Amino acid sequence: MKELFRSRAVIGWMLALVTVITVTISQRSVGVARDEALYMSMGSHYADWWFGLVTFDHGISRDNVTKTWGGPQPTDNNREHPPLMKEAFGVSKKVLHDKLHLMSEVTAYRFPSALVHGLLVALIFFFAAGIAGTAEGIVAALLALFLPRAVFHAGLAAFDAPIAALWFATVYAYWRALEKDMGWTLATGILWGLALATKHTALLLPFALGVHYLFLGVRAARRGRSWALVITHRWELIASLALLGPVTLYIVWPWLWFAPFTHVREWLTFHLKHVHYNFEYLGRNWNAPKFPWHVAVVTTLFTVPVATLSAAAIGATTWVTTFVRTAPSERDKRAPGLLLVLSAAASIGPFFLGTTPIFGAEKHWMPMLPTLAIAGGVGVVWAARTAAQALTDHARAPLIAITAVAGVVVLAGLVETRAAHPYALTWYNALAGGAPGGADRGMNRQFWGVAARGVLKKLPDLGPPGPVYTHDASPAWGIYLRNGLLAPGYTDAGMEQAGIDHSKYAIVIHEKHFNRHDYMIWKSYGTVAPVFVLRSDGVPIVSVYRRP
Amino acid sequence: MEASESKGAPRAVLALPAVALVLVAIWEITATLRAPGGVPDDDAFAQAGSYVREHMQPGDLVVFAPAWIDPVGRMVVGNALTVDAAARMDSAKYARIWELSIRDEHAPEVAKLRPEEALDIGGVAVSRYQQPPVTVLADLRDRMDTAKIVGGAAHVELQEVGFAPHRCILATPFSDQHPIAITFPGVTLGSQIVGYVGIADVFTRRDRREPASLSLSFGELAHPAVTAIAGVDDGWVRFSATTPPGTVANLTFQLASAAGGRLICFAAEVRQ
Repeated sequence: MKELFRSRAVIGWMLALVTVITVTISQRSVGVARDEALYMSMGSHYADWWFGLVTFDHGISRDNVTKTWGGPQPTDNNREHPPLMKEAFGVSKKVLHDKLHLMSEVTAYRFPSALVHGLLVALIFFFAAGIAGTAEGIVAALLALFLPRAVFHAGLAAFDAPIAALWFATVYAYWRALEKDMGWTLATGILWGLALATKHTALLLPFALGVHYLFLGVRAARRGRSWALVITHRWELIASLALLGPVTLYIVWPWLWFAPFTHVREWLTFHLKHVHYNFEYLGRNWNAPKFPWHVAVVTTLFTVPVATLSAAAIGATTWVTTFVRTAPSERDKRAPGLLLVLSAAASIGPFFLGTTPIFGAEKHWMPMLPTLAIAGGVGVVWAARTAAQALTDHARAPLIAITAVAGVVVLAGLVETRAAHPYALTWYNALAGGAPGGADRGMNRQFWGVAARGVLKKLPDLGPPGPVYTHDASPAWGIYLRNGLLAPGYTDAGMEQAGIDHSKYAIVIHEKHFNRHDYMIWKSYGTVAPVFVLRSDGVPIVSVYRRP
Repeated sequence: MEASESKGAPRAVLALPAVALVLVAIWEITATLRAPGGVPDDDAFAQAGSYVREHMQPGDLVVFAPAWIDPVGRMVVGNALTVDAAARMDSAKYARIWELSIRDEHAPEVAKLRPEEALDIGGVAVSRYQQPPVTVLADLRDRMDTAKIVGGAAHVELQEVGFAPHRCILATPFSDQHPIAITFPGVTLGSQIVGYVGIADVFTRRDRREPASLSLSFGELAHPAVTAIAGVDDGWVRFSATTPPGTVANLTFQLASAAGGRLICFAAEVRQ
């Protein structure tokens, strides 16, 4: 048994390593996202403060905490987002780029996201292997690795991939804690605190854990003939979540060190009243509720590889039939299937309400992907093993069948992931018809201005240097210039019509609601004709204009 | 033998999920690798653009389908598509319309027309359509210097309405209680007035959801000849009114919205 766990540990961490390497390499050709530029800058700001604190350059005062972590306005020093990943981005850049020169500036900022994504894939392996078997674990992990949009988000210095990882890490720790392991019990609270310190959506997780806990509690109460057990059957878990979660959040977020209740209230209020950004869905621009109930369903169907979805459907069916056919006394006491379903439901559920902001689409319900991947792993292995056992009695047939079926299903995910790179937000799966099919169906073209990276090297071919209207890439422009990704002299011309009027070149990053930028350029340049259009699989993503 | 066959059938059925998974995966791999081929390459678009530029006559219009190839289309036809043509009120005054299209799509401007000429250039369908053009007696956007404006501000500008470009009269009422009135004096009428109205600016459409209204009255009529309502998601809304040809009349457009500062964009043509 010990050997099994040891070999599983090796497999799990090897999968994590492969994931980290894959993400770290693939992000190098991905442009800097609009929000990412801010998180990078804030990360360095926060890291400087921590380094200053531990080297006794400064102490802790309300004044210096406010100057670095907060301020009177809701978005001062990016205080609307908790700091954990930003701190990691900043420390990583300081150590891996500034001191050790191991990575470029942008890669060093992004490396923590890749690391936690590796953790996610490892945990998916451990969970799936734990509930179903090593083969299921490996397939689930590989299906998770080859999720095109997830790989993309994992390569950014942002919060969406990290929250998926820390969300699932909390779920995993909770599941292990149900074995009455005190270490995992403590870890559950701490990991939830870290998830809270990553993104506010972690607040949804207790709904999943709470329902699961009550379900197990009812079972325990029936066995123990005491209804108090509904609540107390693993009371240490409740204590861990209730105490260690908030304490961890408090420790890593200096902005909470003074007036913590006020600052927490302001943080959450910001998100409860968040403005609705523009987002195209099925041909219509949405920026106000009520949103269609099916946004999350259709978007998931179009952004997860079809083979993975099919495998997950088979896996889910297998779970249900196995559950129904198994005597209650022989079922897994920890109800892992229910836990995974509740975890996914808590993550994606709010998007059925029609009032939750839909901008960002699948990145906002990424914590449901581990459930999908694990179901996929179970589905692939069950289908292959059942086929092998049905068709032959050969002892090695199941292994050969699993290898073959898993190989082709994983390959489908790999091919989709390769096709999506580096413009994964424009990519849609084969069911949608790829990027062109997504455009035909009026699915969102992209966001965050990432695609501007693709025209940087083209600018010198279009004419001598001059000011550029940089549109949605404006926050990233300085990073591009600083890192030599853009020839000198193509400076940022400024914002909106004044910037366009001052510019020699203008770029438009195509999204439906950004059409107005084309029209502002037409007015200023007197032409409707761009001189270059960057396309991803044939779909226009960036236009470049040159003043005649 | 019979027993073996009857046992064999359900066994094969058990293999179906695996077979289905493999088939789905192979289909997905194939479809993904082939997806980019569904859109012609840059050379094909460039050649199609060259063909249109060579054969265009002054006053021709060029349209693109599906709408998402619009940037590529504009790039390859270059200045053959002017700002005014791209920001047109509608396509009724154009006798000849060229269409560059892919994926068997067609632009709404040619949906009811049959091509006079059609060829395929590397997957880009180049079609030329002919239609009887309307005769525009007066484009009211060109008469703003004579217009009398009460209750707001108005000028001609290229604006985004319904995510499309339109050169229009951008009217903003001073108050959400009273309309802005724009009167064009002494207009010689034709058989009809056709116009469009919509709300400019995606952000104000998001932040204020109230619609805008337009009413047009002319001559001595006590009541508006036509009223049109444009909601925030309605885009460019058509309106029309029949008019007594040859009559000289003052045309008054009243524009209102309960949303203060609403950017109401309209255009209208007096047609023969």
